[in-house]
Amino acid sequence: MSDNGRISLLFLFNLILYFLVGEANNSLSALNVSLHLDVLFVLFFGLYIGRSIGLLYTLLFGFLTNASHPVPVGTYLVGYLFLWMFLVWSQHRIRRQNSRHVRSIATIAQVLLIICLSLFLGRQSLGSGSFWQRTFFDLMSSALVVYFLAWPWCRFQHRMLHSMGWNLDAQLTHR
Amino acid sequence: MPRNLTYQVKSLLLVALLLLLWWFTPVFAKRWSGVVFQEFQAPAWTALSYLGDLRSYWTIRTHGKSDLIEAGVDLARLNSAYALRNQRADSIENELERLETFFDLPSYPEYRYEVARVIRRDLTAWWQTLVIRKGLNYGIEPGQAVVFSGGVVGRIVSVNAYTATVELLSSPRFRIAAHFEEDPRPVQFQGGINPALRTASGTVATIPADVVASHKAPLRLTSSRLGGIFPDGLTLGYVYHLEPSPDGLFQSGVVRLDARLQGVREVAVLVPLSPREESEP
Repeated sequence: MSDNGRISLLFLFNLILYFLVGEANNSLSALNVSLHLDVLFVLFFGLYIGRSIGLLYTLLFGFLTNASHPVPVGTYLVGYLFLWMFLVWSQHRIRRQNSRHVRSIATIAQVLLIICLSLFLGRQSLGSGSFWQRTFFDLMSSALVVYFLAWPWCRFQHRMLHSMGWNLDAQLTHR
Repeated sequence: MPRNLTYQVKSLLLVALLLLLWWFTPVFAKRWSGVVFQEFQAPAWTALSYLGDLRSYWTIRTHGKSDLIEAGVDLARLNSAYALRNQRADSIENELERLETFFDLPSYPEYRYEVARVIRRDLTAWWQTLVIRKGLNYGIEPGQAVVFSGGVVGRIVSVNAYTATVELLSSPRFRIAAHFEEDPRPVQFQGGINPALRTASGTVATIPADVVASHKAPLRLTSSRLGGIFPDGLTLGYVYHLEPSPDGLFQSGVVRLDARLQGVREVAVLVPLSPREESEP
Protein backbone atom coordinates (compact mmCIF):
# COMPACT_ATOMS: atom_id res chain seq x y z
CA MET A 1 0.00 0.00 0.00
CA SER A 2 1.25 3.50 -0.83
CA ASP A 3 1.87 6.18 1.80
CA ASN A 4 -1.20 8.05 0.61
CA GLY A 5 -3.29 4.91 1.09
CA ARG A 6 -1.98 4.42 4.62
CA ILE A 7 -2.65 8.04 5.56
CA SER A 8 -6.14 7.85 4.02
CA LEU A 9 -6.85 4.79 6.15
CA LEU A 10 -5.70 6.65 9.27
CA PHE A 11 -7.91 9.57 8.27
CA LEU A 12 -10.84 7.18 7.89
CA PHE A 13 -10.30 5.71 11.37
CA ASN A 14 -10.09 9.19 12.87
CA LEU A 15 -13.26 10.10 11.01
CA ILE A 16 -14.98 7.09 12.59
CA LEU A 17 -13.78 8.26 16.00
CA TYR A 18 -15.16 11.73 15.21
CA PHE A 19 -18.62 10.27 14.54
CA LEU A 20 -18.41 8.01 17.59
CA VAL A 21 -17.64 11.03 19.78
CA GLY A 22 -20.69 12.72 18.25
CA GLU A 23 -22.82 9.69 19.11
CA ALA A 24 -21.46 9.66 22.68
CA ASN A 25 -22.37 13.34 23.03
CA ASN A 26 -25.81 12.50 21.67
CA SER A 27 -26.31 10.05 24.52
CA LEU A 28 -24.78 12.33 27.15
CA SER A 29 -26.96 15.27 26.14
CA ALA A 30 -29.72 13.98 28.43
CA LEU A 31 -27.37 14.70 31.37
CA ASN A 32 -26.32 18.10 29.99
CA VAL A 33 -22.75 16.92 29.63
CA SER A 34 -20.59 17.35 26.54
CA LEU A 35 -17.28 15.68 25.79
CA HIS A 36 -14.65 17.66 23.88
CA LEU A 37 -12.10 15.19 22.54
CA ASP A 38 -10.67 17.29 19.71
CA VAL A 39 -7.07 16.50 20.60
CA LEU A 40 -7.59 12.82 19.84
CA PHE A 41 -8.21 13.67 16.18
CA VAL A 42 -4.89 15.46 15.69
CA LEU A 43 -2.72 13.81 18.35
CA PHE A 44 -1.14 11.13 16.21
CA PHE A 45 -0.60 13.42 13.25
CA GLY A 46 0.90 16.10 15.48
CA LEU A 47 3.25 13.83 17.38
CA TYR A 48 4.31 11.12 14.94
CA ILE A 49 3.57 12.06 11.32
CA GLY A 50 5.54 14.45 9.11
CA ARG A 51 4.85 18.14 8.83
CA SER A 52 3.11 18.52 5.47
CA ILE A 53 0.82 15.50 5.84
CA GLY A 54 0.08 16.36 9.48
CA LEU A 55 -0.77 19.93 8.66
CA LEU A 56 -2.97 19.02 5.71
CA TYR A 57 -4.81 16.48 7.81
CA THR A 58 -5.26 18.98 10.67
CA LEU A 59 -6.67 21.53 8.22
CA LEU A 60 -9.16 18.98 6.92
CA PHE A 61 -10.34 18.11 10.41
CA GLY A 62 -10.48 21.79 11.34
CA PHE A 63 -12.80 22.46 8.40
CA LEU A 64 -14.90 19.43 9.23
CA THR A 65 -15.40 20.33 12.90
CA ASN A 66 -15.91 24.00 12.14
CA ALA A 67 -18.67 23.24 9.64
CA SER A 68 -20.69 21.22 12.14
CA HIS A 69 -20.68 23.82 14.93
CA PRO A 70 -22.44 27.18 15.13
CA VAL A 71 -19.24 29.22 15.53
CA PRO A 72 -17.72 32.09 13.54
CA VAL A 73 -16.06 30.71 10.42
CA GLY A 74 -12.57 29.50 11.22
CA THR A 75 -12.79 29.16 15.02
CA TYR A 76 -12.05 25.46 15.10
CA LEU A 77 -9.66 25.69 12.17
CA VAL A 78 -7.47 28.15 14.07
CA GLY A 79 -7.89 26.13 17.27
CA TYR A 80 -6.79 22.90 15.57
CA LEU A 81 -3.81 24.59 13.93
CA PHE A 82 -2.64 25.83 17.34
CA LEU A 83 -3.29 22.38 18.77
CA TRP A 84 -1.12 20.85 16.04
CA MET A 85 1.55 23.49 16.61
CA PHE A 86 1.54 22.71 20.34
CA LEU A 87 1.96 18.99 19.62
CA VAL A 88 4.82 19.66 17.16
CA TRP A 89 6.46 21.91 19.76
CA SER A 90 6.16 19.16 22.37
CA GLN A 91 7.66 16.48 20.05
CA HIS A 92 11.18 17.13 21.36
CA ARG A 93 10.14 17.91 24.91
CA ILE A 94 8.52 14.59 25.68
CA ARG A 95 9.35 10.95 25.05
CA ARG A 96 6.83 9.91 22.46
CA GLN A 97 7.22 6.25 23.38
CA ASN A 98 6.25 6.98 26.96
CA SER A 99 2.55 6.55 27.62
CA ARG A 100 2.44 9.00 30.53
CA HIS A 101 4.11 11.72 28.48
CA VAL A 102 1.69 11.28 25.61
CA ARG A 103 -1.33 11.14 27.90
CA SER A 104 -0.21 14.24 29.79
CA ILE A 105 0.54 16.33 26.71
CA ALA A 106 -2.80 15.34 25.13
CA THR A 107 -4.69 16.27 28.30
CA ILE A 108 -2.90 19.61 28.64
CA ALA A 109 -3.58 20.43 24.97
CA GLN A 110 -7.27 19.57 25.34
CA VAL A 111 -7.66 21.60 28.54
CA LEU A 112 -5.97 24.61 26.91
CA LEU A 113 -8.28 24.34 23.89
CA ILE A 114 -11.42 24.17 26.06
CA ILE A 115 -10.31 27.18 28.11
CA CYS A 116 -9.54 29.21 24.96
CA LEU A 117 -12.87 28.26 23.38
CA SER A 118 -14.73 29.10 26.60
CA LEU A 119 -13.12 32.52 26.77
CA PHE A 120 -13.84 33.18 23.09
CA LEU A 121 -17.30 31.64 22.64
CA GLY A 122 -18.74 32.38 26.07
CA ARG A 123 -17.78 36.05 26.22
CA GLN A 124 -21.29 37.13 27.28
CA SER A 125 -21.48 34.55 30.06
CA LEU A 126 -18.05 34.89 31.64
CA GLY A 127 -19.48 36.47 34.79
CA SER A 128 -21.93 33.63 35.40
CA GLY A 129 -21.20 30.92 37.96
CA SER A 130 -23.37 28.39 36.09
CA PHE A 131 -21.28 28.88 32.95
CA TRP A 132 -18.05 28.11 34.79
CA GLN A 133 -19.63 25.17 36.63
CA ARG A 134 -20.69 23.70 33.30
CA THR A 135 -17.34 24.48 31.66
CA PHE A 136 -15.45 22.95 34.59
CA PHE A 137 -17.57 19.80 34.47
CA ASP A 138 -17.12 19.42 30.70
CA LEU A 139 -13.42 20.17 31.03
CA MET A 140 -12.85 17.60 33.77
CA SER A 141 -14.84 14.85 32.07
CA SER A 142 -13.16 15.54 28.71
CA ALA A 143 -9.69 15.64 30.28
CA LEU A 144 -10.34 12.33 32.03
CA VAL A 145 -11.49 10.64 28.83
CA VAL A 146 -8.57 12.11 26.86
CA TYR A 147 -6.10 10.93 29.50
CA PHE A 148 -7.36 7.36 29.26
CA LEU A 149 -7.87 7.22 25.50
CA ALA A 150 -4.85 9.16 24.18
CA TRP A 151 -2.25 6.41 24.53
CA PRO A 152 -4.38 3.44 23.35
CA TRP A 153 -5.56 5.47 20.37
CA CYS A 154 -1.98 6.40 19.43
CA ARG A 155 -0.80 2.79 19.90
CA PHE A 156 -3.63 1.54 17.73
CA GLN A 157 -2.70 3.88 14.88
CA HIS A 158 0.98 3.14 15.37
CA ARG A 159 0.43 -0.62 15.14
CA MET A 160 -1.86 -0.25 12.18
CA LEU A 161 0.83 1.66 10.27
CA HIS A 162 3.40 -0.90 11.33
CA SER A 163 1.24 -3.76 10.10
CA MET A 164 0.99 -2.00 6.74
CA GLY A 165 4.76 -1.76 6.45
CA TRP A 166 5.43 1.76 7.70
CA ASN A 167 8.10 1.67 10.40
CA LEU A 168 7.35 4.85 12.29
CA ASP A 169 9.96 4.25 15.02
CA ALA A 170 12.79 4.25 12.48
CA GLN A 171 11.44 7.43 10.92
CA LEU A 172 11.15 9.17 14.31
CA THR A 173 14.74 8.45 15.27
CA HIS A 174 16.00 9.91 11.98
CA ARG A 175 14.10 13.18 12.12
CA MET B 1 19.39 20.39 18.51
CA PRO B 2 19.52 23.33 16.04
CA ARG B 3 18.10 21.00 13.42
CA ASN B 4 15.17 20.16 15.72
CA LEU B 5 14.59 23.80 16.39
CA THR B 6 14.56 24.51 12.66
CA TYR B 7 11.92 21.82 12.13
CA GLN B 8 9.71 23.42 14.74
CA VAL B 9 10.34 26.97 13.57
CA LYS B 10 9.50 25.88 10.02
CA SER B 11 6.26 24.35 11.29
CA LEU B 12 5.44 27.53 13.16
CA LEU B 13 6.10 29.64 10.08
CA LEU B 14 3.92 27.34 7.99
CA VAL B 15 1.05 27.66 10.48
CA ALA B 16 1.48 31.44 10.53
CA LEU B 17 1.38 31.49 6.72
CA LEU B 18 -1.78 29.38 6.66
CA LEU B 19 -3.46 31.62 9.23
CA LEU B 20 -2.52 34.67 7.17
CA LEU B 21 -3.94 33.04 4.06
CA TRP B 22 -7.14 32.20 5.93
CA TRP B 23 -7.37 35.79 7.19
CA PHE B 24 -7.31 37.14 3.62
CA THR B 25 -9.64 34.50 2.17
CA PRO B 26 -12.87 36.15 0.97
CA VAL B 27 -15.91 35.57 3.18
CA PHE B 28 -17.86 33.82 0.42
CA ALA B 29 -15.05 31.26 0.05
CA LYS B 30 -15.08 30.62 3.81
CA ARG B 31 -18.85 30.17 3.79
CA TRP B 32 -18.65 27.91 0.76
CA SER B 33 -16.07 25.71 2.50
CA GLY B 34 -18.39 25.51 5.54
CA VAL B 35 -21.32 24.38 3.41
CA VAL B 36 -19.18 21.84 1.54
CA PHE B 37 -17.83 20.25 4.71
CA GLN B 38 -21.26 20.24 6.34
CA GLU B 39 -22.82 18.51 3.33
CA PHE B 40 -19.88 16.08 3.29
CA GLN B 41 -20.61 14.80 6.78
CA ALA B 42 -24.42 15.04 6.66
CA PRO B 43 -24.90 11.58 5.03
CA ALA B 44 -22.81 9.93 7.76
CA TRP B 45 -24.89 11.51 10.54
CA THR B 46 -28.07 10.54 8.72
CA ALA B 47 -26.81 6.97 8.27
CA LEU B 48 -26.02 6.76 12.01
CA SER B 49 -29.52 7.99 12.76
CA TYR B 50 -31.05 5.32 10.50
CA LEU B 51 -28.88 2.72 12.25
CA GLY B 52 -30.31 3.92 15.58
CA ASP B 53 -33.83 3.56 14.18
CA LEU B 54 -33.01 0.03 13.03
CA ARG B 55 -31.70 -0.81 16.50
CA SER B 56 -34.93 0.51 18.04
CA TYR B 57 -36.94 -1.50 15.53
CA TRP B 58 -35.22 -4.75 16.49
CA THR B 59 -35.59 -3.92 20.18
CA ILE B 60 -39.30 -3.43 19.68
CA ARG B 61 -39.47 -6.68 17.67
CA THR B 62 -38.46 -8.59 20.79
CA HIS B 63 -41.67 -7.50 22.55
CA GLY B 64 -44.31 -10.18 22.97
CA LYS B 65 -47.72 -10.28 21.29
CA SER B 66 -49.50 -9.39 24.53
CA ASP B 67 -47.44 -6.16 24.75
CA LEU B 68 -48.46 -5.28 21.19
CA ILE B 69 -52.13 -5.97 21.92
CA GLU B 70 -51.95 -3.75 25.01
CA ALA B 71 -50.28 -0.99 23.00
CA GLY B 72 -52.96 -1.37 20.32
CA VAL B 73 -55.75 -1.00 22.88
CA ASP B 74 -54.07 2.11 24.33
CA LEU B 75 -53.71 3.59 20.85
CA ALA B 76 -57.35 2.89 20.06
CA ARG B 77 -58.37 4.78 23.22
CA LEU B 78 -56.13 7.67 22.31
CA ASN B 79 -57.49 7.70 18.75
CA SER B 80 -61.06 7.97 19.95
CA ALA B 81 -60.10 10.76 22.38
CA TYR B 82 -58.31 12.63 19.59
CA ALA B 83 -61.24 12.13 17.21
CA LEU B 84 -63.50 13.87 19.73
CA ARG B 85 -60.94 16.62 20.25
CA ASN B 86 -60.69 17.09 16.45
CA GLN B 87 -64.43 17.64 16.22
CA ARG B 88 -64.19 20.26 18.97
CA ALA B 89 -61.20 21.92 17.26
CA ASP B 90 -63.15 22.04 13.97
CA SER B 91 -66.11 23.75 15.60
CA ILE B 92 -63.81 26.28 17.34
CA GLU B 93 -62.05 26.96 14.04
CA ASN B 94 -65.37 27.54 12.28
CA GLU B 95 -66.43 29.92 15.03
CA LEU B 96 -63.10 31.75 14.72
CA GLU B 97 -63.49 32.12 10.96
CA ARG B 98 -67.03 33.42 11.44
CA LEU B 99 -65.83 36.02 13.95
CA GLU B 100 -62.89 37.01 11.73
CA THR B 101 -65.27 37.60 8.83
CA PHE B 102 -67.79 39.40 11.05
CA PHE B 103 -65.23 41.81 12.57
CA ASP B 104 -63.06 41.97 9.41
CA LEU B 105 -59.99 40.74 11.32
CA PRO B 106 -56.80 39.42 9.69
CA SER B 107 -56.66 35.62 9.98
CA TYR B 108 -54.02 33.78 11.98
CA PRO B 109 -51.19 32.19 10.01
CA GLU B 110 -51.67 28.50 9.24
CA TYR B 111 -48.89 25.94 9.53
CA ARG B 112 -48.02 22.54 8.12
CA TYR B 113 -46.40 20.20 10.67
CA GLU B 114 -43.27 18.65 9.20
CA VAL B 115 -42.28 15.85 11.57
CA ALA B 116 -38.53 15.13 11.61
CA ARG B 117 -36.14 12.84 13.48
CA VAL B 118 -33.31 14.29 15.54
CA ILE B 119 -30.00 12.93 14.26
CA ARG B 120 -27.62 14.84 16.47
CA ARG B 121 -27.68 16.80 19.71
CA ASP B 122 -24.95 19.28 20.50
CA LEU B 123 -25.59 20.69 23.98
CA THR B 124 -22.54 22.53 25.24
CA ALA B 125 -22.03 25.46 27.59
CA TRP B 126 -21.65 27.74 24.55
CA TRP B 127 -24.61 26.69 22.42
CA GLN B 128 -27.47 24.19 22.37
CA THR B 129 -28.42 22.86 18.97
CA LEU B 130 -30.10 19.88 17.34
CA VAL B 131 -29.71 18.59 13.81
CA ILE B 132 -32.84 17.15 12.22
CA ARG B 133 -33.19 14.79 9.27
CA LYS B 134 -35.10 17.13 6.98
CA GLY B 135 -33.92 20.25 5.18
CA LEU B 136 -34.51 22.17 1.99
CA ASN B 137 -35.98 19.02 0.45
CA TYR B 138 -39.05 19.48 2.72
CA GLY B 139 -39.38 23.25 2.36
CA ILE B 140 -37.77 24.03 5.70
CA GLU B 141 -36.30 27.52 6.00
CA PRO B 142 -34.31 29.41 8.63
CA GLY B 143 -36.43 31.10 11.30
CA GLN B 144 -39.24 28.53 11.33
CA ALA B 145 -40.57 27.31 14.67
CA VAL B 146 -39.87 23.81 15.98
CA VAL B 147 -42.16 22.14 18.51
CA PHE B 148 -42.67 18.79 20.25
CA SER B 149 -45.25 17.20 22.53
CA GLY B 150 -43.93 19.20 25.49
CA GLY B 151 -44.16 22.58 23.76
CA VAL B 152 -41.56 24.72 22.03
CA VAL B 153 -38.21 23.16 21.04
CA GLY B 154 -36.58 26.13 19.31
CA ARG B 155 -36.19 27.60 15.85
CA ILE B 156 -34.35 26.69 12.67
CA VAL B 157 -31.05 28.54 12.34
CA SER B 158 -29.55 26.96 9.24
CA VAL B 159 -30.76 24.60 6.54
CA ASN B 160 -28.86 22.22 4.29
CA ALA B 161 -30.04 20.03 1.46
CA TYR B 162 -31.20 17.14 3.68
CA THR B 163 -30.66 18.39 7.23
CA ALA B 164 -31.45 21.47 9.30
CA THR B 165 -30.01 22.87 12.52
CA VAL B 166 -32.33 23.91 15.33
CA GLU B 167 -31.31 26.35 18.03
CA LEU B 168 -32.80 25.04 21.25
CA LEU B 169 -34.97 27.02 23.63
CA SER B 170 -32.30 26.46 26.29
CA SER B 171 -29.54 28.06 24.22
CA PRO B 172 -28.21 31.32 25.71
CA ARG B 173 -28.67 33.01 22.30
CA PHE B 174 -32.38 32.15 22.06
CA ARG B 175 -34.70 35.06 22.88
CA ILE B 176 -38.45 35.46 22.15
CA ALA B 177 -41.55 37.29 23.30
CA ALA B 178 -43.80 35.22 25.58
CA HIS B 179 -46.68 35.59 28.02
CA PHE B 180 -48.08 33.76 31.00
CA GLU B 181 -51.13 31.57 30.64
CA GLU B 182 -54.31 33.65 30.92
CA ASP B 183 -52.31 36.87 31.03
CA PRO B 184 -51.79 38.49 27.62
CA ARG B 185 -49.14 40.98 28.75
CA PRO B 186 -45.87 40.25 26.94
CA VAL B 187 -42.69 39.25 28.76
CA GLN B 188 -39.23 38.44 27.48
CA PHE B 189 -37.87 34.89 27.52
CA GLN B 190 -34.21 34.02 27.03
CA GLY B 191 -32.44 30.67 27.14
CA GLY B 192 -30.14 30.18 30.08
CA ILE B 193 -26.76 28.74 30.87
CA ASN B 194 -27.34 25.10 31.65
CA PRO B 195 -25.31 23.59 34.46
CA ALA B 196 -24.27 19.96 34.08
CA LEU B 197 -26.47 17.13 35.43
CA ARG B 198 -29.50 19.38 35.76
CA THR B 199 -32.53 20.03 33.57
CA ALA B 200 -32.37 22.95 31.20
CA SER B 201 -33.61 26.36 32.24
CA GLY B 202 -34.11 29.85 30.90
CA THR B 203 -34.84 33.29 32.25
CA VAL B 204 -37.90 35.49 31.98
CA ALA B 205 -37.78 39.26 32.40
CA THR B 206 -40.00 42.38 32.17
CA ILE B 207 -42.77 40.68 34.17
CA PRO B 208 -45.31 43.14 35.60
CA ALA B 209 -45.00 43.66 39.37
CA ASP B 210 -48.49 42.27 40.16
CA VAL B 211 -47.71 38.76 38.87
CA VAL B 212 -47.18 36.19 41.65
CA ALA B 213 -45.57 32.74 41.31
CA SER B 214 -44.93 30.13 43.99
CA HIS B 215 -43.98 26.47 44.28
CA LYS B 216 -47.61 25.60 45.05
CA ALA B 217 -48.96 27.63 42.15
CA PRO B 218 -46.31 27.84 39.41
CA LEU B 219 -46.98 29.95 36.33
CA ARG B 220 -47.00 28.40 32.88
CA LEU B 221 -45.05 30.48 30.39
CA THR B 222 -46.32 30.17 26.84
CA SER B 223 -45.26 31.38 23.42
CA SER B 224 -46.66 34.58 22.01
CA ARG B 225 -47.49 35.31 18.38
CA LEU B 226 -45.95 38.77 18.81
CA GLY B 227 -42.61 37.63 17.40
CA GLY B 228 -44.31 36.27 14.29
CA ILE B 229 -42.60 32.88 14.52
CA PHE B 230 -44.53 30.82 17.05
CA PRO B 231 -48.28 30.33 17.34
CA ASP B 232 -49.82 31.45 20.61
CA GLY B 233 -50.08 29.24 23.70
CA LEU B 234 -47.30 26.66 23.28
CA THR B 235 -45.59 25.78 26.55
CA LEU B 236 -42.11 27.18 27.14
CA GLY B 237 -41.76 26.16 30.77
CA TYR B 238 -42.86 26.85 34.33
CA VAL B 239 -41.87 29.67 36.68
CA TYR B 240 -41.82 28.90 40.41
CA HIS B 241 -40.30 32.05 41.82
CA LEU B 242 -40.08 35.70 40.83
CA GLU B 243 -37.71 38.38 42.01
CA PRO B 244 -38.20 42.14 41.70
CA SER B 245 -35.84 43.98 39.37
CA PRO B 246 -33.70 46.83 40.81
CA ASP B 247 -36.03 49.53 39.42
CA GLY B 248 -39.05 47.94 41.16
CA LEU B 249 -41.22 48.19 38.03
CA PHE B 250 -40.77 44.66 36.77
CA GLN B 251 -39.85 41.18 37.98
CA SER B 252 -37.68 38.43 36.61
CA GLY B 253 -37.39 34.69 37.23
CA VAL B 254 -35.99 31.35 36.21
CA VAL B 255 -38.03 29.21 33.81
CA ARG B 256 -37.82 25.44 34.32
CA LEU B 257 -37.95 23.83 30.89
CA ASP B 258 -39.29 20.40 30.02
CA ALA B 259 -36.80 17.69 31.03
CA ARG B 260 -37.55 15.79 27.78
CA LEU B 261 -36.08 18.67 25.76
CA GLN B 262 -32.52 17.41 26.21
CA GLY B 263 -33.35 13.93 24.94
CA VAL B 264 -36.02 14.73 22.35
CA ARG B 265 -35.95 12.30 19.39
CA GLU B 266 -38.69 13.60 17.17
CA VAL B 267 -39.82 17.18 16.55
CA ALA B 268 -42.20 19.01 14.23
CA VAL B 269 -41.23 22.04 12.17
CA LEU B 270 -44.03 24.56 11.67
CA VAL B 271 -43.86 25.41 7.99
CA PRO B 272 -46.11 28.41 7.24
CA LEU B 273 -48.68 27.63 4.56
CA SER B 274 -48.85 29.80 1.49
CA PRO B 275 -52.32 31.33 0.77
CA ARG B 276 -52.84 28.74 -1.99
CA GLU B 277 -52.10 25.84 0.33
CA GLU B 278 -54.41 27.32 2.99
CA SER B 279 -57.35 27.42 0.57
CA GLU B 280 -56.89 23.73 -0.30
CA PRO B 281 -58.97 21.35 1.87
